[in-house]
Amino acid sequence: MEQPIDNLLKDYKNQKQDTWIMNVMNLNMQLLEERQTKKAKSRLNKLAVKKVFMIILGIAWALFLAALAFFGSFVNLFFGISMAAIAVINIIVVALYIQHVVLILRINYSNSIVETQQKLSKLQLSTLTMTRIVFLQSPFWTTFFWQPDMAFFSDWRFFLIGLPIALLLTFTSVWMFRNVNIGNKDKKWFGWLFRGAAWSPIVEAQEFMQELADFKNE
Amino acid sequence: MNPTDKEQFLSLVRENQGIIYKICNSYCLNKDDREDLAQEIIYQLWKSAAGFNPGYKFSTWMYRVALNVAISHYRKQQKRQNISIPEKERKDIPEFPEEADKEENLKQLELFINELKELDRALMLLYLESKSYSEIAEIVGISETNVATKLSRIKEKLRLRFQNLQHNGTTYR
Repeated sequence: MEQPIDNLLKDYKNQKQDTWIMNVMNLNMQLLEERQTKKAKSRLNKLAVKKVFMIILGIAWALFLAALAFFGSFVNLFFGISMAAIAVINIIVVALYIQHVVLILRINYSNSIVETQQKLSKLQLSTLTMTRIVFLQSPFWTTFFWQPDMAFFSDWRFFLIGLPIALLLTFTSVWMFRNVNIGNKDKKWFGWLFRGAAWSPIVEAQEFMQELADFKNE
Repeated sequence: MNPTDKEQFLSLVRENQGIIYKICNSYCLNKDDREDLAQEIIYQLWKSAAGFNPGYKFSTWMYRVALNVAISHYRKQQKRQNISIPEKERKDIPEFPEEADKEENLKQLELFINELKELDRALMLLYLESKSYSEIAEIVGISETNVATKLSRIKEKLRLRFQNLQHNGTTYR
């Protein structure tokens, strides 16, 4: 004997359609295309344009830093190493941006729901990954002016200000890089760091990624 | 069948308009939103038509595109806030099953389905369209066994919700 819920589901399936769908179906294709093209120019396309702009800017910035690192290393080794490190981190960020543009171009709604939604969420999460990586360069901005001589390292200002700040930023950036992930989304510090309208879609995307993974593997 | 031809495309979409109708009803609360989503779905179908593989059934492909667009639209619009049943609608819902009015139960069922998570809702819609487990698995991107397990859980969840209604009388929860 069938259970009542099955009967109800059958009835639900056979319900008649409302008239609103006819309004949409009566639209001619040209009008529909015009309306939607306007909309589509925003969203993903806008995102891709923004990322391409960031790539060009990032490449120019990385080249500038690389030039500083090369020429600066002849004058001051600390300056050269610091600039080189910052340039490498920026190159990684640019590479990630390129990867994201490829991802945007490869998003295909004809693919399975899980696959497409994972790609879309990954895109939203890219901002968080970028933040983690970009923050890694912060200690090097405190070391580029160090001087390779004994007088600089024996100065009290180096021990009381320069070194503690560099160590603090090193610890913080590495800690953030390791800890900013979905596993910590319920921690107080996470909520405090990533609160506000700008971050909520990213936190939600993280949760949805987790949901998608569970959905696929259960 | 050539969905890249405008006329043929529109006629194919019209033949399968029930898919768009059900998906929009399930992922949007108000009529304006539904029409917007339906237009967006048709547009994305048209944009993706060039990549349509004739080896697939048109409806399977249409489900993939339409559900992907609807889930993305829903997540953007609702920001993943659960749609809650307005208090007014929760009252006066007759008990299930014997003395219940069928229309009211169907309304209630629709509300319960719309409260499911996006992915579970997609599964339920496909199930209600009498899609085979293998076709559902292909559209959603999970295994057939997984489809069967999840559908049985969802049905159980819906059954329990109706049971709660029955036990609590007209007061929901």
